[in-house]
Amino acid sequence: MTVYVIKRLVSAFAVIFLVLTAIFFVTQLLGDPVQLVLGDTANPEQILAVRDRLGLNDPIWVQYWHFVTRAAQGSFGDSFWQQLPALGLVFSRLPATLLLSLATIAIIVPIGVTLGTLAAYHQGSVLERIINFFSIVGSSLVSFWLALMLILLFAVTLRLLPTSGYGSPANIILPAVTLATLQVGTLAQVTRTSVSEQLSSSFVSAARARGLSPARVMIRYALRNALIPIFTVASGMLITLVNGAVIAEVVFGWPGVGLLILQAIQQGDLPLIQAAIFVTASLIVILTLLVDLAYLRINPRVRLQ
Amino acid sequence: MTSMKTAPETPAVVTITPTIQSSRSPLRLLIKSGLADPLVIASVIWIVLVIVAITFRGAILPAGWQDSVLVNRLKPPFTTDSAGVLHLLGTDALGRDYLMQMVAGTGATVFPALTAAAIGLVFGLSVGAVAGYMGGRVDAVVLRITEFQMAFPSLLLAILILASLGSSIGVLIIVLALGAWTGIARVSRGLALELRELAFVDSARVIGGSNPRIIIRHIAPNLFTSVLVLGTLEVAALMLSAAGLDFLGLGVQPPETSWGQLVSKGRETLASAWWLVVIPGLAIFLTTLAVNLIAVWLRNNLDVDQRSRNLAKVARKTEIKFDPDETPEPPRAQGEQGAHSTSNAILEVRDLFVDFSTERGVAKAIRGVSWGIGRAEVLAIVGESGSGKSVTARAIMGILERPQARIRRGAIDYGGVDLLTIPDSKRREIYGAGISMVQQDALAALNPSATIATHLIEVIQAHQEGVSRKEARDQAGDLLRKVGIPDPIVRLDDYPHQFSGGMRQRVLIAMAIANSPAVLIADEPTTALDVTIQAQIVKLLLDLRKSTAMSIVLITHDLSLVAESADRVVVMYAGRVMESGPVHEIISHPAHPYTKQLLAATPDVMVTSERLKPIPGSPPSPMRIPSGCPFNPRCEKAQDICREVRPNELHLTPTRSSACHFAEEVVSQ
Ligand code: SF4
Repeated sequence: MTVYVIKRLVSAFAVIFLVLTAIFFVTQLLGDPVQLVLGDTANPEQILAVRDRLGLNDPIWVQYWHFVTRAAQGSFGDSFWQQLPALGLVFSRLPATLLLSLATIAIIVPIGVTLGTLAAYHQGSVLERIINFFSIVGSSLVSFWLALMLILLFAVTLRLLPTSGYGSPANIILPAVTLATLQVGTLAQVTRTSVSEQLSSSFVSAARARGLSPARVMIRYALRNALIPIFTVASGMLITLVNGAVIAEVVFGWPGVGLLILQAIQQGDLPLIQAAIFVTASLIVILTLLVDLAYLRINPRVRLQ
Repeated sequence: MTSMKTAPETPAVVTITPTIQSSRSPLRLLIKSGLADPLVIASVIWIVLVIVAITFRGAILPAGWQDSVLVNRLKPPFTTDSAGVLHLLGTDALGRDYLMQMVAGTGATVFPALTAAAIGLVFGLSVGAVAGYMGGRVDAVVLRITEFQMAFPSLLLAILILASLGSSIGVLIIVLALGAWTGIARVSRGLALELRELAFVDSARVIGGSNPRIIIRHIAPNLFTSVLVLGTLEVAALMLSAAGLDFLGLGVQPPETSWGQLVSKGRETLASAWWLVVIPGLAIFLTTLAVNLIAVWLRNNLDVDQRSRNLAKVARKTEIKFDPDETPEPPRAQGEQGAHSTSNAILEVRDLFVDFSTERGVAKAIRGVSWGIGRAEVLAIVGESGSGKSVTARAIMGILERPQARIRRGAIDYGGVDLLTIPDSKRREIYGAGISMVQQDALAALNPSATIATHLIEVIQAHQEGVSRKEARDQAGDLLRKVGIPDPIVRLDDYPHQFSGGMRQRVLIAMAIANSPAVLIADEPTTALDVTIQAQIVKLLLDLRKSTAMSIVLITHDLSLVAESADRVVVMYAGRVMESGPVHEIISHPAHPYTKQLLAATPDVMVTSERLKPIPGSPPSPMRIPSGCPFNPRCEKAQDICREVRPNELHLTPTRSSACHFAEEVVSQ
């Protein structure tokens, strides 16, 4: 098991390193950052001086080496736009993104798992069709439009909730509900499939043949053993949320990393872009690692290997 | 052969095997199912409208559709403007007809996603296919790349590239395709691997020139279906991504317009002019939904697995008629002994019929089975696999596969009640306490994520009132000791997979005897074990029988096991009982040719000098049971009558009966 953990750690580091490399080379395409720093009015000497200061006159491999070593020390340089360390800026936005992702998951998981389990129990019922419908509608909805519709209904028309902002609990409801609506049907569907698969397994019929109550068979036998696929999908959703909350953040003015990235791109703020994408990608790698380690807890059979 | 010549009191047998015709062409089935589904029809109509809007854009758009008419600003849908022109979808902030804006934006909304899906599909398919075919290094590298790309936040990558290279339709398409190819490559890699395996297997078998035919007839359609469904789903997903990028201002750029852009623009006037946001968003939603619905429809009707599942649903509804000779057993007088039963029967199966719905029709697994078991008796139910012996056991325990299985008729008497008619809660009190079961595959029968202690404690607490967890745990330890598991207290906290096969079987037995049952049903309890362990398990069961006086129903195909452990035997074939009687009598003087041939095919039991003689042929499919005696195609003694008339039960002695026309002749040999 220790070997497994070490292996996973090593491969996680490798991926983070690759991400770093990809970020460096893609952002090379962004164009001359000096123009962005100084604006159009700068004279050639000034430009040269700044290029020197930023190390942009060095060969690209040297630049790459500097980039990687500085990143290893936790520095991506100062944001052009805000004149503050870029990494610090990103970290200050991280809690908002995580909060929104976790709030969304906190809506998706209980509802999705309950609906899916009930549908597996009542096979061929209306509930099954409702879940299928929800899942297909959810995967056909554009997030920004759903967000605007909810704003139109609950904020503009009914005036129950604020349209945007951050800080009070009321602010998180609409963005979280938006993101949850898109995914809850899918989780319910996955739950239904894997629970009904477990329900037709031998150990479930063996448990029935021992006269155990239907509730116990459902929870301790079917649901407990269906947890692995459910967990895989739910954690995949968490990862997608960390990745893809940009649009919800933009619509609701939610001050997360996604909104920051978009602002940084609009400002041409190279260090900030690099830092923000690095942090998001690393977060995804770390979450994936945690998910893999969590499998060890859920599945006693893996623990031994 | 005419049925007129047969004896009038025994009606001729008609085998009714309703089968679903599956010879219709897939395309016709597809269209038929599409026409029957209003959602599919609506989706197709919507997509046609979208296509019309794209192709006839020039003809639809009036001259000057882009000119602003400020007097007509922000008119809601269904209003007429100052010139009396009806604006079906209202007007925008510049007074332009919104329907025309929508039409103008259709192409730019759909086109990037469609092209990107096509590129992603072609690229992903080829990379995946190459990886799957080449295997080894190439495969590993491709897998790595897809894994890495999945770790990289795709939306962020898209935003980054669009911001770096500048937004244009070309870049947009590349970015979208970049997000699409990995998933497709993985699927196509899997398919290629499968294909390679198949091609290899077939050429190894040397079936001559049939190889290309197999690929064309079996593999290509599956591949085609997967690709079609995958591609359709991908179009829908990419439409959403493209719309998102448009909304962020990174996708299609003015003067081109797209629906995502329209939503973004309309956002400023959300409170005053709702339609500017609602309409384009709804249009994106409906288009994506239509594409997704069509993907689901294609998958449900083209995918082979899905199709058979659909057919099974149809089969379930098929009404099955009883054969003329499936007449119910006549009612018995009070106290009279049932067929294949004993005088002190504690559990009795009476005239049981079980059917299974399959994609090919109805399988009659059990057709009128009756037997009973006496107190402290070991009753063996023998027969080849498929004879219905396990189905009987599962019917008793209420664990027939749902929803395919159906009990058509019969009764299962235990403790003065019929298990098939009492409420579920009452039955649960009996299962695991009065009657318990030991399954064949112990690993599959145990909950992989619960310890042995949990298993034992729950079955004890389910049936013994007022037993605390602590007391139940003590009982559990005693039970493990009783079934001969070393270090019982330590092993309580182990998981099922930590036990050896034999030890797991002991755990199952411990659970089965936890509540001192009157009857224990052991379904092939030793089949999965090696010979020495088999002997130990059988000895354990027999010892338990001696010490607790419980009855054991031993379901097995192993005649030597029957010979050494059973008191009485019921021989089953093709869902019916062939004969029954005391074990030594049956082994020394079988009264049914099937038993006789079965014995002749079994080593160890026939100690006589006769050579082993396997039974020719194989058991009949439960869908096509031969008329007359079900054993007639394989029977050495079969005569014409055997093919026409089903033999009735013949009672040779009070304890023996046989369903053979020539039972007396057979038994006296
Ligand atoms: S009835 Fe005929 S076919 Fe059937 S077992 Fe007897 S002899 Fe064989």
